[in-house]
Amino acid sequence: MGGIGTRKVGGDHKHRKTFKRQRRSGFQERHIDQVWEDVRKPPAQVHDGKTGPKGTTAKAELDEDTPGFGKFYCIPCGKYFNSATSLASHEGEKPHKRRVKVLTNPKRPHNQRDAEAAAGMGANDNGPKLRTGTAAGAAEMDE
Amino acid sequence: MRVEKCWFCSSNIYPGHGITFVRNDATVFRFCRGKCHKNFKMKRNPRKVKWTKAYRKLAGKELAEDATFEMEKRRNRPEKYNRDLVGKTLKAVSKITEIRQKRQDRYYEKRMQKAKKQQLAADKLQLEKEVHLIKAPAGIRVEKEKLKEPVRQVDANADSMSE
Repeated sequence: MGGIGTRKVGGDHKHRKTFKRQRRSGFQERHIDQVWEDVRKPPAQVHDGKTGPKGTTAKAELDEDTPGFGKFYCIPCGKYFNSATSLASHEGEKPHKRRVKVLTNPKRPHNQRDAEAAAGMGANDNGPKLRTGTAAGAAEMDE
Repeated sequence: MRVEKCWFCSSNIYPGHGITFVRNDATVFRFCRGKCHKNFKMKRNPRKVKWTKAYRKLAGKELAEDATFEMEKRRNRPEKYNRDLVGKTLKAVSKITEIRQKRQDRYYEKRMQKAKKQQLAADKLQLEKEVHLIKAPAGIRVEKEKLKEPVRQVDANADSMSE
């Protein structure tokens, strides 16, 4: 096996992870299509500094597992920092700027619809609209 | 029962194959095999991974827009069973796949035509540079023929020595 850092901890024999992976899955990064949407929302809607990004954690108070108690979060990169200064210094760095550039690109990230289109499928066919609320609509339903 | 498309490579996922991952915002990701699943976990962008359909269509390696592509759809409204309709549909499906295949082949041939010229030029150049691997230059051939005679003489000497 590898060095000390690859010793597996926690969990049952099937789900044992290294310490690093175990900690990291707690404040797991959001996937790029989620971040793509986050970047277009007002920051308050994404992260309030008390829990993880909206919809990811059920914790209500400051999270002692995440760096900096979850207060200093970089939305485009999905990373937590230990202080406001480290977050600020991160924002001046190249990986961050590169990420911002990728995310401001108007083309949406790859999704299931794209995969299906690449496979040669057309748009979903959901059939004619049934409930129009009129007599004509009722007649359609009968058919 | 449905045959789904892989999120990463766009291939067919038959029943009993692959992994379905449901994220905590309820989006479903289906993968045809471990390769695609692992690439997804590595956060690779399918549009940049050369062997996926997404990359190939985007890079113009394959026919991307065609009328035959509109015909295969996920149909969420069940049709009332009608034997004639089923028969017609099956025939239509095979016909459409045939047409689509022909169009894709034609697209590929067109793309490769340019490559043919390049290949010819490359072959010519290689022939000029490396013909010595096939034919020995005149000088080396002559030397080889010279070498043959001394060997016979040495053999005669060896025979006399051993005696």
